[in-house]
Amino acid sequence: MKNISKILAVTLVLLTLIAANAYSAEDATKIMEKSSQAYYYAGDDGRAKVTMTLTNKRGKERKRVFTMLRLDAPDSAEQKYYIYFYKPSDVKKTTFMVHKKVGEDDSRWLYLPALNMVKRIAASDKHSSFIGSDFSYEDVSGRAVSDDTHELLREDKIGDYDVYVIKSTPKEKETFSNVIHYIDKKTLLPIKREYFNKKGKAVKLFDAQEIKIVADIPTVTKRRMTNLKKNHNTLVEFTTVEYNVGIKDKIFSERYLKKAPKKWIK
Amino acid sequence: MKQIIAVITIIILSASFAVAQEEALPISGYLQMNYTARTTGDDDYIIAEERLQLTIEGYTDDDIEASYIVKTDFIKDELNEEDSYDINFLEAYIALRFDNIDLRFGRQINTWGVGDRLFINDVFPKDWVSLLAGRPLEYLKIATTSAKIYATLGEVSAELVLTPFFEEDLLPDGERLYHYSPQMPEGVTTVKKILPERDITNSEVSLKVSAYLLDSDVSLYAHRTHWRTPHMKFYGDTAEMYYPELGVYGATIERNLLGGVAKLEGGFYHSLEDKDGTDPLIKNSEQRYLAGFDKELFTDFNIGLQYYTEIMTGYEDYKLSAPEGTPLRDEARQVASLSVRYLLLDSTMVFSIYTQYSPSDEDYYFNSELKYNITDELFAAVGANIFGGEEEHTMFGQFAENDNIYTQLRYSF
Repeated sequence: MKNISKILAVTLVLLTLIAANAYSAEDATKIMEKSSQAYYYAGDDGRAKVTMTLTNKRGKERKRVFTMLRLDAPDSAEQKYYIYFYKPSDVKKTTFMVHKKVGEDDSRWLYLPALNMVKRIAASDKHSSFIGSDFSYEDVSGRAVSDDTHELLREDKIGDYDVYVIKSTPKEKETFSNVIHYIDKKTLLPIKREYFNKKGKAVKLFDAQEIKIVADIPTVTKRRMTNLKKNHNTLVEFTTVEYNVGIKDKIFSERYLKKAPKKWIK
Repeated sequence: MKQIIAVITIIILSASFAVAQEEALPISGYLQMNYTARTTGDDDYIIAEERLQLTIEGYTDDDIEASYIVKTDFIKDELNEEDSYDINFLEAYIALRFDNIDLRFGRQINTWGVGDRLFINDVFPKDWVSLLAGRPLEYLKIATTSAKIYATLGEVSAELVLTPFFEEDLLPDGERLYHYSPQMPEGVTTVKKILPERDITNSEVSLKVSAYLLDSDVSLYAHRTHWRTPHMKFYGDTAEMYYPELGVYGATIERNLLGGVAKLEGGFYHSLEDKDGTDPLIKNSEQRYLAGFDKELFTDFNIGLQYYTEIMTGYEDYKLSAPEGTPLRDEARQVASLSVRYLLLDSTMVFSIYTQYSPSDEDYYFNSELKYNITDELFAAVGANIFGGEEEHTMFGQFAENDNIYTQLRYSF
């Protein structure tokens, strides 16, 4: 009897392990894809007025205020972003545009109002800081799910959220060696992300601080990225956010970089 | 006194606009201190000035988004011993937007082409003194009073700039910056500057047609303008500085390449008053080319490389007809440039280097700057400009005595 229960137990454990493995490899990737859709591709287009607060280790704050427009390509993962800066005052009226590509470098343009000049800027380093914040370009516009292998570690609870805990490991060499994602089961939005270096030490931490339902779409309206090495953090707050507002493709062009579409950036 | 009244009037006017529009005061701007000291032994200042920049702007909420902007610098030049202020209207225009057309009328700045401080298809006027003497880079460009039509048709856009009145480049004139002045023929006692007459035939036209093709930015350009640097004509005891007619036709292409941005620019400078290159006093036609590459080598560290050449047409005639004693240039003037931009301290500090070296002229220009954003509103910058060359008549060789260190402090509001 004892033996039988032992055998049963072992079989159960083995079965669970097999099941878990079969489950994790495929489903982890699926969850990540859905999460990416929920977080970076909500609606067909989006408009948000954003306040970024950068805080350094001495507690000194800097603020960036801008409007961000986004339009998704109808038939691919490509996106276009348009950003108009209000603050700080020395960059007021500066505009910035990204054509996000799949499998190749994005195209980026910067408009300098004092020179009335549009400048194409190099975009190979997706880890550069986005306007001095703790968010990298990749954090703002998203990392391709296919750039990493994903593994469902467990299911867990963070605060009120039931989450999937997924470990993503880059296929090619990166500045981090892996990321642990905590993804809300209900909305599929990221609740927390920890970036680890080679030595297994957490170097960067993302946490969603507020989730609101905007036009039926769950949206992270307040998020923080903390650089644990530098003890520097950036809080991003959406003061307004809208989806499916009918942003036209023509906005994402040199013409509108040079003269912002007033109706859209307000 | 007059100026002070002007300032007050502007402030009151804009305040009343603000009240009318029930929004925040539409005034922004900055207060800037800018001091540049020569380091080649004269112990003098090249620049010592304070500027108040006021920008007033507004727009209507209707479909045509009519808007205006007035950007004015009030300047106290400490090197001018008179107790006076200068006012400079940097920009002042009215803009309108229609479905596929944008219009802009008034004093405006336009920057075309892809070069970094090397220009081919940007023939709009420039303030070289500001660049060489350590003012912030945006002072390199001078506005023109123009009418601009910007039209789009699908993926193609066209920009037409009509400028009724010629504006010259601001070049070192010996007052602040030393420069090379060519030997005057014997008997010349007076030098007069004659700007192109303000009539319709001297109006300037610039056209740019752009398209986004195969992930590249492609543009074609055409200008009917004048050389912006003065030429010399002699009448008896008078030397006349004037600006011969010029046509410029060119193209640019820019795209992502090898993890960076690659750019190519070419242009033909057609010297319309000396088409066959036989007049030794007028610059011959030139072909100009530029190739450049920018890349972020590692996080927050960008470099830019450029190669530029200016090939004179009719070089044999030029050599034969050049007046005796004139230093001859090479058929192809060549310039290589390197720029470095390094962001430090969470992007609050920028270290930059910009340098040009000409193997044909054997001269160089070197600029390095450290800029720190003390707060979001306040920045301080220190930098150095160094010039030199084998000969005293080349572009940068002539400025060897102008090496300088500069400081800029700006509070924006």
